[in-house]
Amino acid sequence: MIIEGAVGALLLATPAPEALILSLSSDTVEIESNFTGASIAVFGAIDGMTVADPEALEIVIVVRGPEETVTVRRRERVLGLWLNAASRTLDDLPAFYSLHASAPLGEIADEATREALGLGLDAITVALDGSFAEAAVRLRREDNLFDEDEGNVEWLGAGVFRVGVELPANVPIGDYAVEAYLFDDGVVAGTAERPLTVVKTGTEQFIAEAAFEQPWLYAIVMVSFAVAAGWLGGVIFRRD
Amino acid sequence: MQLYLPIAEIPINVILIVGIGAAIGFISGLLGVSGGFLLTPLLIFAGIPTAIAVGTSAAQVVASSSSAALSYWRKGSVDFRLAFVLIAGGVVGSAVGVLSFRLLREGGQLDVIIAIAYAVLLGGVGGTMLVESIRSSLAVRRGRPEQLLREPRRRPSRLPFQMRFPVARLQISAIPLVGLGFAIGLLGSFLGVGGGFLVVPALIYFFRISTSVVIGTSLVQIVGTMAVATGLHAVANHSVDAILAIVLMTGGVVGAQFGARSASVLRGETLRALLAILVLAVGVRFMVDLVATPSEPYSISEEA
Repeated sequence: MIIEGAVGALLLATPAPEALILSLSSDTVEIESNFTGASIAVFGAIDGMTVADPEALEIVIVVRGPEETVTVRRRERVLGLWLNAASRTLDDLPAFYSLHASAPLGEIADEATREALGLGLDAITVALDGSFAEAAVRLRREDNLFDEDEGNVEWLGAGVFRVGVELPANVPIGDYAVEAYLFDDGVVAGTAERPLTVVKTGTEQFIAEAAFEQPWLYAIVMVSFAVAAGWLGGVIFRRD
Repeated sequence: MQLYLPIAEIPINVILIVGIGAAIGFISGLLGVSGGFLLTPLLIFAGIPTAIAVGTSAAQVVASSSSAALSYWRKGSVDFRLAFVLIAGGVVGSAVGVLSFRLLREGGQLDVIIAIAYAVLLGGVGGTMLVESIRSSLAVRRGRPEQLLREPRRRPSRLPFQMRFPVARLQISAIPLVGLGFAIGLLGSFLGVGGGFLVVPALIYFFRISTSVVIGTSLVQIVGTMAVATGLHAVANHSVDAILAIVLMTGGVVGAQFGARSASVLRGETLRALLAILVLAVGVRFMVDLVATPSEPYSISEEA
């Protein structure tokens, strides 16, 4: 991975990387039938701080969803109708991306660093390149799947921080990573990562697995159910 | 009240979906149509992804039609031989429809093609219905009896595969019947509609079958064809959402009974005119979306 390589290079350049401890209020988000979104708290601490000036420290937290290949299409006017015409396939677009920071991103790190680490929606757009990438990021943002919130990471005490992350109702299923970046005067001084899983449970999981893993059985059950529902309605409300 | 849909992967408002199901059920009970041609568009407008709206509508059409089909069966007004010939064509049509549905979905053109199909279909059906209902209400006002049957066309000339249908009192080649079934299966699986609004006039005007047998037979055909379409959508596209279907059917079954009861109370021409306007409005909405400059020309979809 380019990003991990870049992090490695940056870490090597830093003389004394700080040890970051990261913890999530829950490492699994379970989607049940009453799911309308979830919020998780991300806590972190700097273990045995060695920096001279703790005031210069800034934190960036990224909740990154599973990467997927997407197709972005543009509607164009053909014979008076707006049809899908041009399209572009974008590889490795995260299904979800939510960034939180202790200060405005521009003050935390310069553009080159942000782009190297893939921090921020601008960095994602640059990495994907072009008007289709801009549209992809904009559409994801409108669907509440991409978000940037600068200044909401709270310092609870010396080297201890916290942020609340909201996951919307349409949050995609899959394996997520919660990444933390500690910046000391514009330079990465430490990183940490915790896995986060978004899964369907209970009935939701049962139905989805049946539909995708036993499609024939699912089809037979659905059709039988429909006929039974019609029959039952006729019997219950029979007039004669 | 929100409920998360396991296949569509979005939460829906239960009250809204029950309401849509009940409204469609009411119309179907009232007018003897399956209502799929309004259900799919309403689901799309409610934010359900197009593919899932079509697949789940097909399931709902099976539920609403089977209720009515059973009552016609009890009365003995179903020609099963005729229904099976139509279904035989319908199965092939459904398979072709579901397959092309899948290809278009993968090619990213599904939503646009469905919008065009609905704009044309609903515009045509709604316009014809409106003209007919205005004409018949004018005829009633002038004191003339309603002209239901037009001069029937000649039956198709002698083709091979002649078959006898005792209940419908018909002897005819199976070819045009299988062809009709195929067309309905194609349309039904592609748009999530039952196609009763096309089969009934075709059987009455073109094949000259008596109206009493036509409706029951067409309902059995719709149940058979749409059951196959539902199954194929579930297998090939994974686009039948069980929770959405259950919520829709709950509203639909109840609505259908109220519709059937209201049919004797409410005036036929007025209702048909209202339905025609509703159908036209939905068709126009699709047309506007196709013709008007979109505020967001881009769309995004995951690779299958």
